[in-house]
Amino acid sequence: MSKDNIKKIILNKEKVMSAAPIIGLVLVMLAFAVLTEGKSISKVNLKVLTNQFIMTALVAIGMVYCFACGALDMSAGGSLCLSAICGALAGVKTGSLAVMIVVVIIVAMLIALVKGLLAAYLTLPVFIVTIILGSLLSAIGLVLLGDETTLSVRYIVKIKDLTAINLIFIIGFFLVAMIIFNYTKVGKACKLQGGNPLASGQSGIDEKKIIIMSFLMSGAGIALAAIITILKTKTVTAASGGSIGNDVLVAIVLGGMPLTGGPKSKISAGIIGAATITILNNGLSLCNVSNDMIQIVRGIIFIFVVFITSMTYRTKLLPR
Amino acid sequence: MVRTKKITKNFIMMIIIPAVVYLIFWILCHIKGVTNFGVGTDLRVILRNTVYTGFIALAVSYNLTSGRFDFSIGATLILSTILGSIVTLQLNLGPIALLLFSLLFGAMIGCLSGLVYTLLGLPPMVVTLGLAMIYEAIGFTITKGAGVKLIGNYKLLVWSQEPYVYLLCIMIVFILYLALNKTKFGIDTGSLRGGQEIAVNTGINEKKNAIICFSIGGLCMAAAGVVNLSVLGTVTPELGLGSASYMANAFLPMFIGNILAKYFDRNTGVIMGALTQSIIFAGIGKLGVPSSWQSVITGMIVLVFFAYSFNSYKIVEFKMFKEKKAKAEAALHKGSVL
Repeated sequence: MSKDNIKKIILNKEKVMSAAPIIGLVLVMLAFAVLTEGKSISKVNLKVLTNQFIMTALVAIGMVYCFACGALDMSAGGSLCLSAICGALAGVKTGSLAVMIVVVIIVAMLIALVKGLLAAYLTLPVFIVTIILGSLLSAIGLVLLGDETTLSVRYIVKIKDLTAINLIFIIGFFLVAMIIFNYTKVGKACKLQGGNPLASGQSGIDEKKIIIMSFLMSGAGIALAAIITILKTKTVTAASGGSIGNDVLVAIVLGGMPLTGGPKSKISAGIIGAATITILNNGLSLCNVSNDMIQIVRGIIFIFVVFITSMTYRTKLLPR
Repeated sequence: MVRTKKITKNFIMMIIIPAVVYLIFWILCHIKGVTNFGVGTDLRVILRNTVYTGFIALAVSYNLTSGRFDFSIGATLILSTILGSIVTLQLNLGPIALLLFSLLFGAMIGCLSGLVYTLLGLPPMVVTLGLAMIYEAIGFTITKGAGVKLIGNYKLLVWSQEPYVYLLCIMIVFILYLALNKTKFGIDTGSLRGGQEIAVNTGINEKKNAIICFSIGGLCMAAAGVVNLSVLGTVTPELGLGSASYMANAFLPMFIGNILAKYFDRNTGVIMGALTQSIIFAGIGKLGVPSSWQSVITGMIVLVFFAYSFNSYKIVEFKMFKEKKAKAEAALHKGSVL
């Protein structure tokens, strides 16, 4: 490689950085395809992968809006759990799939609205509030479940193959989220809000409205993921949703999203990150790596990726 | 005379929140005909829970009040207690060794978190999230997922019994009181809390301070872990960031501690906050609220308190604005009369 080429690469450092998540995803795919001798790209495994990927991706795409605003929402698991439980309860009571789905959407959006109002009007640190709120929502779910531990909706949900629904949900939601994020005032205001709230406010952006809107977008992602959960498992428990909040956080970071939000936020981070983390988890499992070792690998990769992607904006003071 | 008055006032302010909460629940329980709230065994459980949640809240407070969120404290509790127990059992030592080894491992793990944070210069939440995953998995791997089981080993499990649990609390709070109020570290911590940039520009070594704060956090978590181990007899490793649940009860004591810090000392304030929370939990239980509802009610209380503590300045602002307006109107009125 000539010196000119090296110079060009250095000059285009930012571009290389923005392509890093996709390169990472391709490398992870190739590495596991070789390591598992093609098992990871077999037809059966690809179907398993798709199922695992959809959930994380739906929540992650919506969550990009919150992250872009600088609001780290950690209550995705609790929100998903409560909306799924409410929906299942309504479904069991009425025997109607449509009612169940409508209730899931209404509850998920209401929770998102509450979170948005809390963040916008009470100026609370979103990260901590949503940790508390996450466990509160799961606790409310437990109260609603009462003596039952598992709610079965088997007789309401008669759909066997979810592939079409999965594809419609993920493609539809990604397109809508991408158009709003990249080509409308809302998306641009989100990024500006995360980058510099003061400048954003002074340029006439309604900060409160934007925060509430971004929580509603993430609520939509959670609602879709909750619907998929019910349709897939046909049962709902207090553990539904589980660790999705943490999975999404890791996924978004692996997708190249700066955790501080701002102008470098990308909607693609949700989908690329979800794909990377799903392939990584699945690939390591196929290589017979135990769950604890998978977690160590995830932890190291998580820190390493953030370190690499944040190299361009390091400050003299320690970040808080 | 003035000094005595000030000390008395500060003392009253320190104990007034838990005292009032205790009184409210005592009255409510007596109205409901429950007479065993806050006395005898119930009081002992309240105090033991105070020490346990107090240690966790102290650990959170050393970083969070400086704007650093340590996500790894739950994993630090688990890993330090597992390592402390394993070494003590291997060497066939007693309860003091269990405590000291756990504290040592806790401080070392905290120090490691601080080192990684300062070396990488990444947001603390990100670093500690990654480290939490690693610590959890190490705890899981070295015990092969089984954790440590010391049930029945009463010789070792003394740190939840009287008077040891109180001695441990007094000792740690006293050391932290000295560290935060009488040393350069304490003054630096206060400066960095007040204004990071100005403090760093005056020559304060922020990295050193952050590492010490993380180490203290780790030490407090290990102390909480030893108390928890003595109560339950086991430490269960977690995966999938399940260890984050350990910090759920840390926020209310920490915010009460923040409010009380100006009257005497932040550490003592946090313990008073933990006492308040333990009284609330015990009171709700005694009032016959079903266990599933207890989490909802306590979660709501924490959320309301949290909202209040972050917005109380708005009430002060509103009062000031009103006073100013009244003054201006009075002056205007006076001017027009003249």
